[in-house]
Amino acid sequence: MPEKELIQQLRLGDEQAFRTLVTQYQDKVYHTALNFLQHTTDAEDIAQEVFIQVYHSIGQFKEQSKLSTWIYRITVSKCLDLQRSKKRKKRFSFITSLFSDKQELLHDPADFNHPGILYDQKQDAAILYEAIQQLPEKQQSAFLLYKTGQMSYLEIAGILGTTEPAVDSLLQRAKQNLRKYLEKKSHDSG
Amino acid sequence: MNSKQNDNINRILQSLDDMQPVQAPDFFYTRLIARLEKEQVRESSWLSTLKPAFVAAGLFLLFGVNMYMLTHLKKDSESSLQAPSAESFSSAYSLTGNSVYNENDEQP
Repeated sequence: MPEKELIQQLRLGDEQAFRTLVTQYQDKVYHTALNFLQHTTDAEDIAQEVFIQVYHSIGQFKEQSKLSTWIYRITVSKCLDLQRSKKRKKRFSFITSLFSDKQELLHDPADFNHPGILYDQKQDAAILYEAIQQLPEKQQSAFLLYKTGQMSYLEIAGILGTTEPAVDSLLQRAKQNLRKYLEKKSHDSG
Repeated sequence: MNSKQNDNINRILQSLDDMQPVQAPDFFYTRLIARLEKEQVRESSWLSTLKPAFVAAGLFLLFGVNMYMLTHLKKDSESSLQAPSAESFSSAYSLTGNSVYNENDEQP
């Protein structure tokens, strides 16, 4: 189904069009969310939220960008929101644990096993994901979309609402910061 | 930094390059529809708690507040539009007849 027609059908609340949209994008949205969150349950939750938002706000989609760009933009924004809320919770988990009966702190799952990464690269990828988490949000988004989403500068610029040179600059700075972090980590571990 | 460490870092930085695309979990669509329906039911049940009596009372209150504001604003604007007379202005600021600056009053 051509994109224009799909959007029109979605606006009319057509269930078949919604199924087509989900079938077309579910893997891409889930893949993106998984790379941002490194947590399978969170990634599925976010992917569902993305399609629910698309369902509710398709009427407000002005078609100034491609449908895929809009869907990716929602995905990235929701992933970053969840990351922020998790960081906040983690920051306060120590304090709340002092006042609650449960004697436990919130931790990121250390044993995340990315299904798309080859077995012999899993250990290196885990270190890289840890380093990516330290990057500022824009650099993190540009790097993940480029590396794991195999997207062009133009597509990334559309999703992040910026220009191609700005994406290039974000990627260069992301690589520099990642290298710095890894050098420090390597130095600290001796 | 030695070349071994540098190689390690390069290897780590390239570890996502051969990533395979990941597929959404099985029954993704079914679960999505179930969640969507659940949310719609929750929304409609929230709306149904707004009983007609409460809605009417709310509207009546809103209407009352609006009427009160309208009448008071009208009164205020009318009173502020009335130009103060010269007498009331001079009496308010004690500028009538016997001023300390009146030279005639100072003569014995």
